[in-house]
Amino acid sequence: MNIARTLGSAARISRSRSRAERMWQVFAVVCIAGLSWWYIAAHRQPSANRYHQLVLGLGWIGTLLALLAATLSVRKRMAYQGVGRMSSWLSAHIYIGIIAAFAIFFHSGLRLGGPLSAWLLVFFSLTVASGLMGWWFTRKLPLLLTAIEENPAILEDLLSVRAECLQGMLELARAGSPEFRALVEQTLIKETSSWSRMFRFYRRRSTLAQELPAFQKEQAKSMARLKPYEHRAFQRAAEYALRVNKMNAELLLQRVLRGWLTFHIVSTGTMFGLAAVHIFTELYY
Amino acid sequence: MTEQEVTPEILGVLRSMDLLKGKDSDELTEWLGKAPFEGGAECALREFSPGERIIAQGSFGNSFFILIRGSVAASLGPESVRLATLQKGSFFGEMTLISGLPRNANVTALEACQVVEVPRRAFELWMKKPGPFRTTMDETYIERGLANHLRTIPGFAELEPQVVQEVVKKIRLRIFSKDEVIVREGDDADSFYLIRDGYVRVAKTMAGGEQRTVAYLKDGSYFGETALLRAERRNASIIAMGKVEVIQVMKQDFFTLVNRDANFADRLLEEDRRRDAEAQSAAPASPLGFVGQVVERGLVKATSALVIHLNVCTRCGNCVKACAELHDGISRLTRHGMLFEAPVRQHLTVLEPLLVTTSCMHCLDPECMVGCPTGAITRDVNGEVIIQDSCIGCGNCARRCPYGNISMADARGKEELAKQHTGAPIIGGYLKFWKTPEDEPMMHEIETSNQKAVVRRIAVKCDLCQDYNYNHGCVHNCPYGAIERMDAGAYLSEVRGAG
Repeated sequence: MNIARTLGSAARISRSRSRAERMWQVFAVVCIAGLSWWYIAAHRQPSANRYHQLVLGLGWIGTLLALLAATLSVRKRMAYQGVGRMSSWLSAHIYIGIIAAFAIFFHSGLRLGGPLSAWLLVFFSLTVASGLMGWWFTRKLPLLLTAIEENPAILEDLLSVRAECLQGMLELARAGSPEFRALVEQTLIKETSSWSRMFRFYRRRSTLAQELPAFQKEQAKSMARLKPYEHRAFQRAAEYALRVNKMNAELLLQRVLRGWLTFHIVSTGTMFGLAAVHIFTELYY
Repeated sequence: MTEQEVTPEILGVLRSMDLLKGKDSDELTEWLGKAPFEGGAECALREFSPGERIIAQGSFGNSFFILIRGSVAASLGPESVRLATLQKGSFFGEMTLISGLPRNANVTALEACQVVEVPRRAFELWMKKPGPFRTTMDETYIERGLANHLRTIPGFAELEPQVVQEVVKKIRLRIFSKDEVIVREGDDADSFYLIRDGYVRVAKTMAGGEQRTVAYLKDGSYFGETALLRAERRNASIIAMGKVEVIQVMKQDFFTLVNRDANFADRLLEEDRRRDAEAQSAAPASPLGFVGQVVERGLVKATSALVIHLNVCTRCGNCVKACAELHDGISRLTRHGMLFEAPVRQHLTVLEPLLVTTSCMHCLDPECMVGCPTGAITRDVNGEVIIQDSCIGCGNCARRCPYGNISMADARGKEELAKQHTGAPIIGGYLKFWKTPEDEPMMHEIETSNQKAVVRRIAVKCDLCQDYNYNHGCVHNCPYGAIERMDAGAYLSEVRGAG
């Protein structure tokens, strides 16, 4: 597959999807400009009371926007209630979240304050960072995934094929001579989980078919230690090992595509908990 | 229709028709009577007032009609160009049931009329048996279908209607199966062909002797005219890409047409030049390869294929989860299927990986609909293939679907189970009565809330989320807009047009 073309096409798809997104971008820019003006106006206030009110206002706006952005998780639990496309909700979540981030940062003035507000700011930053990271992952990793996979496979398929490949390799080892078994254990098993090989798939954006001849050539030196009739079996075992490594490369991408969300949700939940305590203490103490 | 509704007048009209020659009253009453399975489609007596539309051109249908009283007009297009006036004892609407294609004419009541609407199930019942019904239907299909088809082809549309009628009497309808050679390169030209349905590929022998595909032609296209008009041998082979219906016009009849209309040959040659120019100007990155893949793998039949743009899909599985949630826990799609490298819309030299998922494609000519014993699998007026509640779980449709897009699942919805507990006749009575060892897989016992319940199996497939106002759950719930419905024919036309 021509990767340059693939990347180009994905850019075009996202461009066609992005008309609504552009509206959101304009909206976000206008809102952030408004919040900046608010922040500057607050700092120019000679009256401390007035300044306090304006900064508090930013906090309330940020909290409400953050809560609004969090309604995406409610939408996710409603497969169909006539409440609009999930993609529109996600755009709203992202841009409202960005506006909320500005409001909260302006509210805090990036000062840590007491331990509670410091932790709140840390978790708020983590939420924003994990959200931005997820945004980047969901845009870039599918391209990488399609470039290295021959056939699109779901996580469960990858796991079962990987298990089959490992089983195949171990069966070959079991049926071979002690030297053969030792060689498989020393070299090939290590290769199945080799990070450098996995990153080679990512870097070169290559498929198994493209990497296999070079890998088998690399193993030729080790293979020379075996008897000739075992060469074919070793090559098959090498193919299994490389396949498992490639499955691991695909699995890693799929897990990253899912895993960042856990991090985002945990930090968001903690942030909302701390925010509730922060609001309560500010209001009543 | 109940026995009381089958009046002597209706029986009289039916028995006077060549179509139903030899059928006695009992046989006809039984045919028109109740469906053999509960909930199955039945014949119905319907009344129409003057001017009322009985059939709309372009819509899909599941029935054909017999005119009992009054008269109707068959017309074409929005201008209602009158094709024929049908009187009592005539029939119409059979074309869609035979070909699976949309209705090709409007039928409107000219006066108050009464028609018997015959569902697909009853129609197929008699089409299976040799006899006057099947013979008449086949003949009418060829006569009406070809005449209408010729009117839609550029170059033929301008011919006088009488000339078309004359031609129709002489031409032959021929059906070829996949990979069959229709015309061989280098052979003498003895006839001219029009594609009525399906795809063919045009293959030429190159300098090195290898055969290379140079074009794909679809229904509405024609071939063989150049060799006839220039008195040459065939300059390319034409090979069927699947089941293909072609109209064959023999050499002498072709030249009769040429002699009757002075401009006919010019129009054909002009079209031929246009096609040549199109082929010459095709860019090196022509999407011909993609068109070939689509045709060869059967996607071309899809009116609503569910495709995933893999460069955008994050493999979150929301589409499958949403589908399952909207359909009693049984997803009607899986993220497996056919992988294509398809040209991106509006940027056709750029390719992107597309996954056509295992989900009903709502084919133009659905093979699953043939032979459903209860007529439960039908298509609605918009062309969507749907499975109705009268499904008995025989699995015929699942076996027939060439893409494996229909599966069998337990009908264990809450209502269904409640009916079983109360002994409602649909399961407790009716199906138990019919239970035979062969039918065993249709129903089996499951454990629900410490109770045993008899559950039947039913065929399930994508219903385009009909119950949710056609807001497809999978498309609606994809956070990244990576999944969409695609009409393969329209997409292909776009690709070919721009290629």
